Amino acid sequence: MEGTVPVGSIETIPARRGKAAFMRKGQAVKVINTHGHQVVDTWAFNANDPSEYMSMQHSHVAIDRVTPKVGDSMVTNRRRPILTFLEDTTPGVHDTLIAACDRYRFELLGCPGHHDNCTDNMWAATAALGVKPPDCPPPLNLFMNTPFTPGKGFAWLPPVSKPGDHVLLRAEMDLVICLSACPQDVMPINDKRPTEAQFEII
Amino acid sequence: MPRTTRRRNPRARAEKGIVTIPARKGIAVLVKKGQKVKVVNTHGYQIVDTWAFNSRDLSECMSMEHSRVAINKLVPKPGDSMVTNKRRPILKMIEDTTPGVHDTLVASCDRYRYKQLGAKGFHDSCTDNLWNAMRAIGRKPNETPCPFNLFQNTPFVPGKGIAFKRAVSKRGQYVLFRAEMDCIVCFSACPMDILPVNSGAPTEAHFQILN
Repeated sequence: MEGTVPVGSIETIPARRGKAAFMRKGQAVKVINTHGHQVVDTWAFNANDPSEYMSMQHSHVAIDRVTPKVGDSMVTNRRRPILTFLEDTTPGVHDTLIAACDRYRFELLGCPGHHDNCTDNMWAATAALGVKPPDCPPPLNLFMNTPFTPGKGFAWLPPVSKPGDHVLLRAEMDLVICLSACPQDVMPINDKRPTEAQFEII
Repeated sequence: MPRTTRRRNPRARAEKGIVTIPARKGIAVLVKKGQKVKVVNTHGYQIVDTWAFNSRDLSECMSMEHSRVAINKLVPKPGDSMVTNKRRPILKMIEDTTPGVHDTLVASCDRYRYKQLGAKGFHDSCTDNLWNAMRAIGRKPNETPCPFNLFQNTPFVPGKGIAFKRAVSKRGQYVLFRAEMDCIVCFSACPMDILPVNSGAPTEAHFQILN
């Protein structure tokens, strides 16, 4: 099947780019922070109906927190489990509150001309598999260290993950996983050194 | 509420005065750039799920995940502009006579939520209300965006989770927004009657468009 990644093969998410792959229910994806300071924006869509997708606002209710931990299942906009955290070798710092970066964000940050962004990466990576999401849902921002403090707002900090740290996520339905190696190089969330990351389907 | 009433042009009625958001139902209305919309918690303790869409292109909508970055807060205060998924201001909060407790983290209730909560058969939901209210004015959004849950008191406490508490806004308290673009605003008087967020008894609310 087009877009099927060989099981056990370590695949690269090129720096500043996205990649999507089909996963069968019961398979797991290991998302590896190869160099340790890279955010990976993550989406999941029901493979049979991409209008059902992993939703942060529904998951907040389902997991009763804003940052998932091992054992938590992220749910779709139909409140069905879609990805379960099986392992997390990082200190557990991820984000579910912040939109994927997009061309508008980089315009506002003063970048002239084109800038790679996770939203365009999501559209390109899903289109490459022939999948058409209805919209760009809020992403699960793996490894992103943007803690919110009431009265102070968000801090935009480099990831605390170490090189080679990973999260392992089990597919709870047949799905399309979409991963973007965040190209943000204006804010320090990737330590201003966007790199590639890797994933493996198990 | 009879369907015929909902199908009348809500904008024409709105400009004459105060419009009812029927208990457990939704209503959508065109608000022109520069106009203000006042959302009144008529009986107190009632949540109003709120969405806004660019009236010329419904794929551009008010986005909680983009707004949190724009306002650098989880919940806006007067002076803050909520933005769209193209990061353009769409609704600016001008005034808030409530204690300022609202929510941007929690999805609107839907048929799946009520099923999980054990409701038997059909239950009104804010998500269905959005689609029905938009259909009533002949519009169709791409998706159900994360709503701005006005008056919803569901604070997130780190280490403890999300507390589903009774709303704190009292009778007659309101929030006033200014439209920063021509937009369709949709309100749903949340029908949640299983969790105590609406004080157990969902009621109507009202809005008014001001020039």
